[in-house]
Amino acid sequence: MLQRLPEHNDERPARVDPTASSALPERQTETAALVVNDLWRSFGGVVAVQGCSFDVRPNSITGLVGPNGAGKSTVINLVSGLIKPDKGRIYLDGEEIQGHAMDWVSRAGLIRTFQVAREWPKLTVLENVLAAAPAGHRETVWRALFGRRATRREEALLEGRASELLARLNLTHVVNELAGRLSGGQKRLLEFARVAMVAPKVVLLDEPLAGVNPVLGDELGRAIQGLRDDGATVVVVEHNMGFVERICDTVVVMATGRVIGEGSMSQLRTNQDVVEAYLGRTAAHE
Amino acid sequence: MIQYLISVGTLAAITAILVLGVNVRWGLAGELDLGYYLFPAVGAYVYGVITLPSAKTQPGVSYVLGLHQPFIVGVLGAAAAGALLSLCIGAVALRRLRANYFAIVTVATTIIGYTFISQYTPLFNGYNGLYGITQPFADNLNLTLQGYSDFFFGLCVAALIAIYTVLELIRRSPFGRAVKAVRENEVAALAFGRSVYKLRLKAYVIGGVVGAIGGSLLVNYVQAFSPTAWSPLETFLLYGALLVGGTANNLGATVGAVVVLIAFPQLALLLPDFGKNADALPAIENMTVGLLIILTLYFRSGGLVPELKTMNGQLRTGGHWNRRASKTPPDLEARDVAAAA
Repeated sequence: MLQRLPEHNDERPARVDPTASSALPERQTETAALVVNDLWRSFGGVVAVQGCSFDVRPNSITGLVGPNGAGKSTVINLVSGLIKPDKGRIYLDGEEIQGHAMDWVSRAGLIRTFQVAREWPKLTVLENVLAAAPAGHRETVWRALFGRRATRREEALLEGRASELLARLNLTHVVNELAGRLSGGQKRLLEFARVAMVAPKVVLLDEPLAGVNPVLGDELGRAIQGLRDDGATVVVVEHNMGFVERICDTVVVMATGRVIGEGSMSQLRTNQDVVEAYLGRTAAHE
Repeated sequence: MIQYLISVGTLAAITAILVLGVNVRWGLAGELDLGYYLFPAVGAYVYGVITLPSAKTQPGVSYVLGLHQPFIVGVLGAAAAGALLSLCIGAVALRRLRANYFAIVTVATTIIGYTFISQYTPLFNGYNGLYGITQPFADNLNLTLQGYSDFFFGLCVAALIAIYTVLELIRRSPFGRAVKAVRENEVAALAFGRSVYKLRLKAYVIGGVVGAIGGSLLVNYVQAFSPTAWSPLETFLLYGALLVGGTANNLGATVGAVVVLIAFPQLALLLPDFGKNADALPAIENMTVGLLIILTLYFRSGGLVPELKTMNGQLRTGGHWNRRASKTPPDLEARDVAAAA
């Protein structure tokens, strides 16, 4: 029997009293920045995510790894609101967010990136960063016509922040280029600038190293650590295990739609389920 | 000759307003509304029934309202009708439908509207349409025919300048930037907290209002309006004008309107006479206009005035932005940004 999920709406949900939640006896709803509890999602006859549960500590970098088809990207899509779960609960800073649309989840403080960089190609690099900042009251027709002075003031402040972020990511020289003309790596860096502009509570990065050379990979690693240093909690889906070991505080391993291990990389190396999931049962026992 | 140029200029100004409306929807928001002409038509009809006297005073004619109100009330009524119709269509079509499906719905809606307006006589006098629309301020001004043409030309140009200015403020604002972001990548806009539906609906309504105001001026120019004056196909000419001028850019939309809908047909008039078939010349003129559109797009695919890079209300070059950026304090924190927003 599927659990009925909240309807999409623009209202923020009431803060959940963790002590009243009987569904999460083992999850750290009070202290965790992000809690995923018993998440299910199927596509037709394929159950992509089946009972997936994990916590993410505040101000940490958590790796979400697993072989292809493990359900990592589906979990990211579910948590970010791109698709709705069939069942399960997701808490962001103690607030239930499952079932809400992606824009609502984003405004609640959870920002995600995609496997392929999704820049706004006909906006300049600076515009991309400014357009990512929280909309507030700036983006109204009324303000466009009658509040130009206030808008200019706020935009100047945002431009200062944007130029600082772009300088940190070595993008100052392309600040006026159309984002569509950037290289693949620069688009990745631009994505980090956009995310940092929001100052989110939680960031979900879906394969940030996809198609990126090793040198730029190091730069992206520093950018991810920069997000954490700015106060964000980061979840990274990544196949590059060296990268995951280098930057992640904790790693969550998924296989066949569920979590099969959590801990540091050294702990996970000794976890037989994890080894089998990656190498196959036969190879793992050889 | 001057009189002719004034007449052409008046039509150019009205057409430019119509293309500016298309530009908000297609150029800025990426909404392929293939039934756009419904909105100028509704604007024209609503203006007509607000300014005309009651239909009871004219035998054999039937239409709603007949309020006999002045020009400005008619224009405001037309704008309100454009906004209301946009809200009704947009609220349904923009919520779930994407791209191609949305375009098909707009075509279907316009065909329904066209058929309904043509066939349901009590609304806008059916296929015979509205006629006898009085010229604005004609009674008060007491001008000669020539003098009134000059005045109406000035009125249309003033309306064009006002609408252009408003749309330019919108395009250069953070709102315009957010609408463009939705056009460029909807999912990314969602991921950064933008309500894609609301932004698209607002752009759709603005386009509808501009179209309806253009329609109210058009009906003043032609002084009558019936289904023969518009059809769903008219929309394609407006899109041709926008593509030739340059999308997502009000200057391009205005230039495109003048070039495609005024200059190209004037060029086609220079063609020599072909045989004795009276229908041949108009057909060849239409084909020439089509060919000129294709050639312009082939040799200048971004349009005569391509989309401009703008930032925070100003056109920017690299040097200009860099100079300003160097003056901004580098130590702003994320919380300052959040507070500003």
